[in-house]
Amino acid sequence: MNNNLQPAIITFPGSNCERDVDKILRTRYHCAPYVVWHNNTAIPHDTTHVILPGGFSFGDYLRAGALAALSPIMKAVHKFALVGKPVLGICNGFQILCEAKLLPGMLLRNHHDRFVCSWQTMTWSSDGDNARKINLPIAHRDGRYFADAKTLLELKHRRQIILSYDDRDEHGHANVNGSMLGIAGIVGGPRRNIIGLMPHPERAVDAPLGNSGILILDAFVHGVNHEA
Amino acid sequence: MKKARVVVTVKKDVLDPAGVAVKNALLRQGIKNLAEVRIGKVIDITLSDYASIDERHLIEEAARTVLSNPIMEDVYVEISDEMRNE
Repeated sequence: MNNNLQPAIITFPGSNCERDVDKILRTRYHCAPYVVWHNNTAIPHDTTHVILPGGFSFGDYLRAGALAALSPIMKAVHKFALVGKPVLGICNGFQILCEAKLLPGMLLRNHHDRFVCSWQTMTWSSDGDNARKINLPIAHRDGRYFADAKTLLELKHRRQIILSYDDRDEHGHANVNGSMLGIAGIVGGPRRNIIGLMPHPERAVDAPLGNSGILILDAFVHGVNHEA
Repeated sequence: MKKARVVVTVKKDVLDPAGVAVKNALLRQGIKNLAEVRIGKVIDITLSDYASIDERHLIEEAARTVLSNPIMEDVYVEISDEMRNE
């Protein structure tokens, strides 16, 4: 067992990727994650990492992630995130982090209005340097990253865009979903400790299928707190 | 009854893909001079007769913070006469 690692996976009504996350955390990092139901008001005190998994919390009613952002557990997640501890939101988890204002911007309906489920080539760079091309699976209908021009400029200057789709149109928007600047994932928070990703790294952890998700999970587990 | 209607619309500059799909369907229906179709949401809220002016203010606040996201949506609240005349 890894005694220094104690993740907590937060689940909401409609979460559906918590077991995939749980499995890779157990097998690769030798830990036993807590699974915390959204109606709780506290995260276990020895939690070192918080993960909001993918799914369709509250059926995406109102807006994707909007109702989950109001769940009782989110006050504790706010506190955890704002003292600089690592938080990862995957897909619906990213949408929840944006609705909870822990990350800037939001995820809108894909520009073509369709659900997309496919592998995409992306560029991953946790610190703005050392960019790597990787393949990751996406599965979403609301993955079009959107923010005002000022926020986009800040994200760029502060090197907060850690993951971006390679395939873009002439405006720089991702062809797969219309994401501005091709954004697939960003980092934020007081210590670059809050990560939001649309692709699913936990679905890319086996060599025969492609395992570049491990690169991202390793960065999260071992820390991506490189000050830009 | 005291009623409030919250109307949420997608901001002018934000692409509304569902609106574009509906526009294309309406074009096929023979409406030739369509410039644009935008889809929003209507949220009807009914309060009990005991509702106070404070609750009206809370609804107006929730309309801005919960029922809509100011990053991509505009919102306005229609208050029924009974509620307005509090």
